[in-house]
Amino acid sequence: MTTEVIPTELYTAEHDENWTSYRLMVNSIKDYAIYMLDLEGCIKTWNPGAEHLKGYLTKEIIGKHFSLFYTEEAIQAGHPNYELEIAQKQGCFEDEGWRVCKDGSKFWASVLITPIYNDTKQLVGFSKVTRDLTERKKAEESVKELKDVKFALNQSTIVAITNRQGIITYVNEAFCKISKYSEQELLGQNHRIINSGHHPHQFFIDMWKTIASGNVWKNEIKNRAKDGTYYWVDTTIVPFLDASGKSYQYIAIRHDITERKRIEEENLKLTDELEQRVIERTTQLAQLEAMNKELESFSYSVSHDLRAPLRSIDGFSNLLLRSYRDTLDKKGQEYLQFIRSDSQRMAQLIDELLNLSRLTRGDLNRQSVNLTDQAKNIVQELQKQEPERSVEFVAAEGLVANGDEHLLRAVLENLLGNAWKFTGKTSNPRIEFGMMPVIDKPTYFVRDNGAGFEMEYADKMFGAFQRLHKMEEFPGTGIGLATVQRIIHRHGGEVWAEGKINQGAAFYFTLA
Amino acid sequence: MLAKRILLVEDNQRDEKLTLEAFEINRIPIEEIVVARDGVEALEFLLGAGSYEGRNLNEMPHLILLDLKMPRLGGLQTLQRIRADERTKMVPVVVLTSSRQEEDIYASYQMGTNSYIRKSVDFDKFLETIRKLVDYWLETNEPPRFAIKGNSLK
Repeated sequence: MTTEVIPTELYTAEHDENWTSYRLMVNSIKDYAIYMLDLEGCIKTWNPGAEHLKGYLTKEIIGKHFSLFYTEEAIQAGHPNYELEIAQKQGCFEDEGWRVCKDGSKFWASVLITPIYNDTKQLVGFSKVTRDLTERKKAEESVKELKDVKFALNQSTIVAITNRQGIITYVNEAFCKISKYSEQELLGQNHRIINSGHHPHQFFIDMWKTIASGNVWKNEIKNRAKDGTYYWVDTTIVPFLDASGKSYQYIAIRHDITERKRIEEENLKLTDELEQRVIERTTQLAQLEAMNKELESFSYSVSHDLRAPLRSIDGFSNLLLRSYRDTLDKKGQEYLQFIRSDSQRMAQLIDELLNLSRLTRGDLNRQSVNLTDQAKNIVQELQKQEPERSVEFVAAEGLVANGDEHLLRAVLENLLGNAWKFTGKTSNPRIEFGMMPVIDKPTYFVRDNGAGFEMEYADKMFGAFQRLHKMEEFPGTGIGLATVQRIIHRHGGEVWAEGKINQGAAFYFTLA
Repeated sequence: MLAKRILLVEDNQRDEKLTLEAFEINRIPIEEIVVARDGVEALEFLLGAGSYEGRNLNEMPHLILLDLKMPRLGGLQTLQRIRADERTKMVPVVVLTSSRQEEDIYASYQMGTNSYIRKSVDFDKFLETIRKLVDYWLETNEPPRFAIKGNSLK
C-alpha cells in the first residue's frame, strides 16, 4: 500500500489543519474509491480505497483518463464524458454499472460523480466516489434466479411444502390442478387427503424416516384426487434443514406420471396375459400331446389287444355250446381254461394300460433315491415268488440317483422283472445292476444272460404292447418297457437296449 | 376235398384254433393249412428258408390269411416283402385282423393286400366270414396260375 496519496501540488497549495484532517480521512477509507478528476476527466488524486478497489497504484494512475475504468461497450457509448456532463448539469451523477480493474476483472460499482467549484464558482474538476456492490449485485441476482427457478418449478412441476408435522403449508397451482382440491382445502391438511391406499403402511413410514433424518426421498406414488380418480406422481421430497441440521420443513416436487404408469400397467397386464396365455397354451399342448399319445395307444389296444381275448372268450364259449352242449369232457374243460386265462389276461391288460396312462399324469416328485437298495429289494421279491429258481444277482453298491422314488421303482421292477423272466430258461442265470464308468452323466444298467433279442428289434421293444417273444415262451403284456421308457423320458433321461439272441440283454438308462 | 393250400399267419394260438375250428365247422375241406406264427416264419415258408429249407416252392398257397400285429415281423412288413418278391408277389393276400384303425386299412392296401377283413368278436359272424372268404377266394375267384415263371400252381 502506498503512503504518498495526495498530489504534491495540492498538498503545497492548501496546507492547513483542515486539509490535513481531510486528507487523513480520505486516506483511511478503504471501502470507497475516492478520487478527483480534472475538467477533462484525468485523475488528479487517488486514495487507498481506490487502489484497493481498482488495483492501480497512485503513481501509475495519476494523469490517466478515468475512462480506463469503463468497459469497452460503455466507452463506445461515450459513457465517461456523458457522465461528467450530467454531473455538471444536474449537480451530480449517480449510477450503477460494471467497472474494470487493472487486472481486467470487473466489479459492480455504485458511482457518484460530483462537480467541484472554486470560490469564484468556477468548475475545477469532479470528485468521484465508487463503491463495490458486486456482492449485493450477486445476492440480488441470486434472489432473482431463485425467483425464476421457483417460477419455472411452479410452471413445470407439482410443488407442495409441509412442515415438520406433515401439515401442508404451501401448494402450487399444479398441485391443485392434479389433486382437484383448492389451495384452501389443502392448506392445513396433511397428505392423507390424497392417499390412494395403494401403498402399504410401511411405504410411508420409510418415507418419513428418510426425510426426517435429513435425506432426500424419491419414489413413485399413487394418489387419489378429490373426485376419486387416481394419479401417479414421481415424487422427490427434499428436507429443509435448520442451522442444527434438523429438518424443519419439506418440499415435495412431483411430476405427473399417470400416463406412463397407465402404459406400464397396460404393458404389464398385456405381458402377464400373454405369459399366462403362453403358459396355458404350452400346458394345453403338452396335455394334448400326452392325451393324444394315450388315446392313440389306448384306442389301438382296445381295437386290437383287448378284442382278441374277448374274441377268444366268445369263440370258445360258442364252441362249447356247439360241441359239448350235453357233456363237458376234458377238451371242454380245456376250453373253459382258455376262457378263464383269457379273461385274466384281458383284466391284466386293462390294468397295465391304466397304469401306463397314469404315469403321464401326476407330479414328478424328485428326491434322492437309493437304486441299489431298491434293486436288491425287488430281486428278493422275485425270489420269494419263485423260490425254486436260483439266480445270481450282482448289484453295484451305493448307487443313488435323483428322481421319483415310486416311478424309479417301477423302472427297476420292470427291468429286473424282465431279466428274471428272460433268464428263466438259462442255465446259470445271472442278473447285474450297475452304473457305467461316468463319462458325462450317470448311466445305469440292468444286464442279464437270458434269452436276449435281436438288435434289429431293439427300438421296437419300447412301444406299448410290443413283444419280441412268443407268448408260450415268455408270457407278458408288452407294456413293461413302454412304461420304463415313459418314466425315463419324464425324468428327462434316455433308455436304450443291447442284446443278442440267447446271449442276454442289457438295458441302459439315464435320468437327466 | 378242395385241393387248396392256405397259409395262416397268426401269432395268437387261440385265434389260430378258432380259425381252424371255423374251417371245420363250415366243413371246408382244405388240403393243407400251414400256420406261421409271425412274418418271419411266413416268409421262411413262402421262400423255403429256415425250417422250410428245401420246400417245393411250386407249392405256393392259394391264399394267405395275414394278421397285422405279430412279434418280430408284423403283417404290413410281411406283406411288403411278399409283394416285393417275384415268387410271391401275385399270391392273393387277405388281411385278417382285429384292427379297424384307418392307418392299418390304408397301409394294408398301400402294401398291396387283395382284401381287408376285420375279425368279428361274435364267433357266429366269424364263421360266416370264413365261409364267404373261402367261397369267394378259393371257389369263385380265379387265382393266378403262374406264381413262378414257367411253373404252374398245383
